[in-house]
Amino acid sequence: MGKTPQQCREMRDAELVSLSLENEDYFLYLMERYEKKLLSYISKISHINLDEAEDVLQEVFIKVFRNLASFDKSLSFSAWIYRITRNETISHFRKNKVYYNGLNQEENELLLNSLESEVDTAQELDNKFLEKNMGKVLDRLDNKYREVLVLKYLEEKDYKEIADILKKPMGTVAILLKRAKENFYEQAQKIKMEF
Amino acid sequence: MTNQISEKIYKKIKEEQIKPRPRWEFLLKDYTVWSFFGVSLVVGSLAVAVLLYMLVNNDWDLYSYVSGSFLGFLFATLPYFWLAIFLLFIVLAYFNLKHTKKGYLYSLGKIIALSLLISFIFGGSLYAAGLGKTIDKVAGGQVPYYERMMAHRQAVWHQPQKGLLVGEVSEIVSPVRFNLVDPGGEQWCVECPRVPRCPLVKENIQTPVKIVGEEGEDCFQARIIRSFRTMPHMMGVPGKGHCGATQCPMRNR
Repeated sequence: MGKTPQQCREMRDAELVSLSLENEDYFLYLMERYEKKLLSYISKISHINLDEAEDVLQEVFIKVFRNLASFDKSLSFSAWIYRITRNETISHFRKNKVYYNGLNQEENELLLNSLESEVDTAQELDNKFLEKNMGKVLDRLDNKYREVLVLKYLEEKDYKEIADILKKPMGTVAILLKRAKENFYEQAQKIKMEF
Repeated sequence: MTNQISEKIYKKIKEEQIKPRPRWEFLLKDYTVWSFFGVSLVVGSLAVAVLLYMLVNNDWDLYSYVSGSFLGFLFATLPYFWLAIFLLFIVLAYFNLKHTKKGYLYSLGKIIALSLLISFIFGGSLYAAGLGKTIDKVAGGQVPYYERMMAHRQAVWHQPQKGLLVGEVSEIVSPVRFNLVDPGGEQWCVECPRVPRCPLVKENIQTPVKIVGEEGEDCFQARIIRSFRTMPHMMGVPGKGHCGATQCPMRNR
């Protein structure tokens, strides 16, 4: 390996991909870069314990390495690896028909803050109530709405990246996000009325 | 726990000597999908060429003789076979483009609009080059379902009680009279004194024609005569008549 670890850590993803195709040692730096992020992403979009999440992530890394030559440099590597992670997570859990269980307290607050800043209707809801019941609200959402909210507000992906991860046109992503927010508050209102 | 998985996978890759799949495998897949997309568009364009040929030569001005309404005529004479082929290949083009690397970025509407645009530009050019007619003729002799479609078209134009007659000229009796064999093999005497345009010559023997007129006491009285595009063997009995006259006011398109 001709580069120092420091140099490798400063390299762009696409450069590391090119080097990894010639020497697998460089792939380690790519994996390290995404390990935490992807573990967290898997847990946000699935009902999973850490062991299972790690199993999924191992599959993801092996798959990414095998298919490294198919990476299109006009896409962001981040979007590509998130897409593979999403697909791997879905296929891993499809057989159990379980996909989502809930976010932790910190994630609940982050999602709530993000949504509040964007949607006026949030003001109509009691924030404390929402914080407590965020899990329930998300649980009632369709997977397609839940995952787009996670990508936008918890993973902080932009529209282009979300489009690349979900393999949908950007216009569809925008509509999906709008409906996800509307649906979120609709479900929150319903839950509030049930109390 | 930090980076444990990365280390584990790195060791696994080393130990099991896992290698990335070669780039040519992915390129081959990409080119195959693009090729299928191209083929779908080419076939769609060919279908458009024939569609245009059939629609342009549909004798729209005679619709009132065939059906009570223009829409009725349209639905009775639409070339459904080519329409179905065209739509099928537009759908195939859509699925192929969707499976290209960046196909997901385009919406259904955009892909369909693009496919339609390309098909109509190429199909229109092929029609202008005369390929529509050629394909129609070739398909007539090769495609089984095509015969059924032509038979339906023939039935639309062969309703003697409504004043519509199709058949092959079997004998030219006089400048204003000829014999015709309809698809059922029945002989008809046709008079055409009021039909503008002439001449009908020997070469018109065995020509498939469609006639608008009315049944008379002895002969069918023709008002309009047009050539009828069909397959020769669709007509009941091939014209065996001899040419009794060399001139007849018969319109040929």
